[in-house]
Amino acid sequence: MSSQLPPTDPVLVGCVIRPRGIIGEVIVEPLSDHPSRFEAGAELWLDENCMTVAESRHDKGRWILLFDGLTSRDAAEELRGGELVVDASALPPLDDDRYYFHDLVGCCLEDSRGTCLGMVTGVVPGIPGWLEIDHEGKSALIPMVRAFLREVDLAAKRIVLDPPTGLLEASGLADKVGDSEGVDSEGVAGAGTPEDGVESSNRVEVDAV
Amino acid sequence: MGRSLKKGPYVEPSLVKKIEHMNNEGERQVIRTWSRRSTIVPEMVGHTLAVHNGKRFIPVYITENMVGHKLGEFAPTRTFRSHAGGRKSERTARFG
Repeated sequence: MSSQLPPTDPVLVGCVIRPRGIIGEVIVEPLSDHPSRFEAGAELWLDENCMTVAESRHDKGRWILLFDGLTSRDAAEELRGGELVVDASALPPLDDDRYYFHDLVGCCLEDSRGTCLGMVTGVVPGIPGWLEIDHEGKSALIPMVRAFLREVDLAAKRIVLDPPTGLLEASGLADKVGDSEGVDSEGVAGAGTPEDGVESSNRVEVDAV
Repeated sequence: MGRSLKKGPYVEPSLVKKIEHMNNEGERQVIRTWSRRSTIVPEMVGHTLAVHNGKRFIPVYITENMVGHKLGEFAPTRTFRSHAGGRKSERTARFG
């Protein structure tokens, strides 16, 4: 145990799932994308206590950790359900196109005219993942693609969206066809109508043109 | 058992038609589709397809790495809830 002060701005890096074995190891669900976070020697906070990782190994997407001072399963059992945190100042800086989830949450998604389309309420992991947007009480997903998200200003908490035609309607950010700038409700023949003779499960529509 | 090579990858014919039309015209529009079983082909790269997940459309921006996979693989049907809930965590996201 360490005599350092607990983190003033805690950031969750993992959750203790349960003890493992009889020597005091615990299984930890990682909530961190930094592989060095759980290496031996790392210091993590759990309930006002600073724990030092003595041994660690990766197993099936989780980490098996042995903390200094824990030598029995009974001692490890007391950590069950605990949350491992570090101070926000200990977070490493990221590359240009990489962001912490908590930095994106709370940003205002704006269109090119500066109109707020909604607030970012979460990030859905995936390839490449989606920003979850709260739009008038409804949830919408916007792909995290640089081609669409032209500008990310974390200091001003704003993200500028430059959507392709039909994205706002498809994701639910525009209530009806023609809501967004530059969208013409007339244009390509057959827009917005199911293909003739195609089963409903296979329908394809060109959106909002 | 895999699909016969003679047939080629399955893509919904109406979807192919729309994609080819947009490629010929040089357009970029979001296409809504229910056809999760369609294979992603190189002609789709750079387009955004809104794939239905059973409840709503999930916009999917097609990149080269996705070619050969099915559209449905990129439109999750279940809501993922992290242990972190709404609290600060050290998870990161990269813009594609």
